Amino acid sequence: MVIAIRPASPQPGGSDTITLPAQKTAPHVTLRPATPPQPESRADRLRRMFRGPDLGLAPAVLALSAVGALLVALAYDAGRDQRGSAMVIYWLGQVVVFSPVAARLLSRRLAGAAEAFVLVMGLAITQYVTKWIYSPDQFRFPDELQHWLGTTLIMETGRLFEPNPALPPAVNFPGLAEMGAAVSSLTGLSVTAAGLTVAGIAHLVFVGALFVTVQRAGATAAVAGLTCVVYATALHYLFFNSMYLYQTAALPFLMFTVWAYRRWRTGGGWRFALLGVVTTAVTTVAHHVTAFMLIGTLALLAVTELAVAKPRRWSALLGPLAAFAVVAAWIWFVARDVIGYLSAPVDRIAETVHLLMADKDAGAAPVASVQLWQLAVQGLGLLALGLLFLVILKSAWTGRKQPKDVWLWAALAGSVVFFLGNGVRFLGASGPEIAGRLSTFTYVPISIVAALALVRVAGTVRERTPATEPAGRRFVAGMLAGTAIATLLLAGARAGGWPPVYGLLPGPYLAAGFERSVDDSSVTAAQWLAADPGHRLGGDITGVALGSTYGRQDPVREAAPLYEGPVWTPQDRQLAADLAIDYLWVDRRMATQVPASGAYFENDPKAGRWTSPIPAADLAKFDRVETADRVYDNGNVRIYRMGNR
Amino acid sequence: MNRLASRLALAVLALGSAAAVLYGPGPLVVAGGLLLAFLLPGLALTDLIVRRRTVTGVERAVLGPALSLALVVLGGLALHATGAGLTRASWAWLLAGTTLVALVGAAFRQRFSPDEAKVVAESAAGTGDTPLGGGVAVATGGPETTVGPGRFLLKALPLVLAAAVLGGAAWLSFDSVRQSTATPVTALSVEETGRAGVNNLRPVAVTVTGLVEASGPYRLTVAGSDGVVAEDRTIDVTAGTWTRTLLVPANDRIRIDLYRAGEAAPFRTTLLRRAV
Repeated sequence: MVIAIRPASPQPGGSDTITLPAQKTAPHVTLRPATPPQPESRADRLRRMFRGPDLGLAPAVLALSAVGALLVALAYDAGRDQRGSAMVIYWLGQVVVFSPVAARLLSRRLAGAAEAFVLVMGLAITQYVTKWIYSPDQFRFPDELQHWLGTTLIMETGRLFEPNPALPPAVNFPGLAEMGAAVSSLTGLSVTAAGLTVAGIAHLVFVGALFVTVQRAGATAAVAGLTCVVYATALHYLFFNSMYLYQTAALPFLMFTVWAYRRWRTGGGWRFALLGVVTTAVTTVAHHVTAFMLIGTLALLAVTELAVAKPRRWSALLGPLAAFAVVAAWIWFVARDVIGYLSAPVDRIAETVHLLMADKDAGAAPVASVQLWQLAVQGLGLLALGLLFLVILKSAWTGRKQPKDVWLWAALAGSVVFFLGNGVRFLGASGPEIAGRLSTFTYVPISIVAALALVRVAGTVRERTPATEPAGRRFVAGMLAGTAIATLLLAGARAGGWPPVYGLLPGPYLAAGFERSVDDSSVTAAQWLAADPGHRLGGDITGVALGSTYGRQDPVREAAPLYEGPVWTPQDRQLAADLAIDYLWVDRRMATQVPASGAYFENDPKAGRWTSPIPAADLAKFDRVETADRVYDNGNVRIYRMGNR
Repeated sequence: MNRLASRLALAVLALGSAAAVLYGPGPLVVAGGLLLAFLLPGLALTDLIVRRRTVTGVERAVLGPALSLALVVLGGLALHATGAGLTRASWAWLLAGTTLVALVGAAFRQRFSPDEAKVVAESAAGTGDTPLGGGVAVATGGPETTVGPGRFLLKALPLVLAAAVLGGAAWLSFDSVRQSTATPVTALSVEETGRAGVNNLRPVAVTVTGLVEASGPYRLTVAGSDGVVAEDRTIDVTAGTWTRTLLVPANDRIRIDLYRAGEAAPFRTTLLRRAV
């Protein structure tokens, strides 16, 4: 059996040897290009100026994909009205958005790089639209609100590094806020509109950077496009990595650094090295975790090169060393507090591992219950990725005696990290979050590997000898199989990613439902708080998120015990005083619903163990506190001013 | 369009965008701002930093917005460090100015650099780093096919349909959100605005927002801890918001209730503790 990234011919008789397109008997799978490109003559350039790239069927496919977005919009509308058909339409829409693009990229008739690029950018735009129309008028996710505040502070003061009580670590990573503030200042758009635009552009640039990076690694346009399509099935691709969050701003620059590193390593010269340093700096200024992952990625590439390439060139280490120097300098001189911020979840993981090693109960993660079908879909997706990985690993192993393709081996090594990272989700309360964050980065190599395998599954690799080409029916079956696998991965991502299944559709208020908890009642209450900014505010997750952003209050995230019990005890009074709480946010709807996410509060001592709503009497007790005023009431949200000022 | 013409066009566009941002009317401000933030500086910087023939059209298309955003981030730090402040004018001058400087630099680089075709040929021939794939200089993935202008436009036509459908999805969503939030949130709030006077009365500002005409006329009552209503007012709902400063006893716990027309149970309630 033959595998090649470019159209290639098999060995007669269908041996198991892998063939490089440019070498008839090259025996292993590779990302390398088949033929060196030739310089374009002036005449060719003139002829090209009056012609357009062949977009193939991309426009038609994208028109069909856009219909999927319309279906998703209809599903969201039905969700807001609580109509029963909403979920079916939603899933149908997601498949219509995604699958035609995947199928076309698996087609043997793909016109070339232009069509593949237009397809993946079109898919990215359409998917971003499906994210945007979930909440087209405002940010609803807490982290987006925190960055909204950071951007607003720049707009108001004209300065960077202004304290942001809603998300203190973001102050020292102002890249995203700068982008949002620049766009808002230059265009006159609101911070929300500017933020949605910045997030969308950054998301598109990331996808484009991924495409060109994989292409530069030597892959065909189809493989580069499929890599982007497979990456679109990452857990956090559609929401976390497209939201107005600092990671969204950093990701494209991580990918561009990898691209520049590749160009530098393949003889591109110092200009690409310089470009890499610049993009590393932007990544670092934008987001801490992405900056650390960039060092890791460059280190992986360098070590793989040193391990498999002959002759060994130690200059490969300059990339990760330079990245380390930039990141270390920023943290040392500007963002020292990030070490404490990031070490907390890592410490919790370490503690969990320690407890597990000691055979003690490590405690469950405070998450909403996961249904069996979700686990099944995600499990099948993981299994499919594992099989695709094995397909390529086997091919690479078969050709191990040949000169090795460094980036293919790096992708395989990165894929192993991806599979290991999936195990982290079972390690304590922070496990799922860390695993999800990790997958944003480790899903890149597994996407490359899966794309290579998918073109093989689909039979996209064209044979040089027409007689040995797969029959049309067999090819269609292969293409459908490849599309089905990609669609399965998408279903797994939607079922296990963000928003959680309970919030896949917008709709009425859900207690502790993140985006689903942000409604007019809570936003109006937060806006009322803004008239008296800078005080300490305790509340549930949504109350703290909105109150600390729209409400401009200093969030208190340890107030959960105050809501327990029907009587205001001396301990409660002492805790409120110790936490210096000025305002207490009480959403009465907590007495009608169990928390959708498993916890009403940040640092909720009963996280994951709520089986019934908070008793109404527990929330009503604040009316009887002699030292408290109920200063605001909109029916759902009540705000109490405690006597601690 | 030759390179000089394209650079001139870019320079004019950058200056025009900056002028639109600083002095133009609404739509031009938006267009100019978006061009400056997302495109023009990146295109100029791409021209300056990388040789035209060493990157593909796709790479240039992606580098444009990427380098523009990079300039925003790093240039914003520079503006902050110099104390210039991050204002509309400083952003516009930074981005337009960098665009012009980069274009001039690119022109100089081209003039004094070796022939680019030669560079491409050398690069394509490899630089000795065979383990990494032969020093690829331009696009990979096989020859790119092109079509004539008529056929290109015909083939691209469905993209217009796609854009229209996406626009329809966006319109539907805005309308859906608007309908789902059509009912205003009626809120009652109270705030002490001063200290108690000699008559032992303290001023409190009472505000009602989100009044709905269909639920009116509303009624507001003020009562002490004994439940005796000290004040009973009917609220005019036409303005949507109602604010008054009331004088209430300082040495008593005060309850202020808002009622909808015809209802006996309070619709909203605030409580004020005894003044300290």
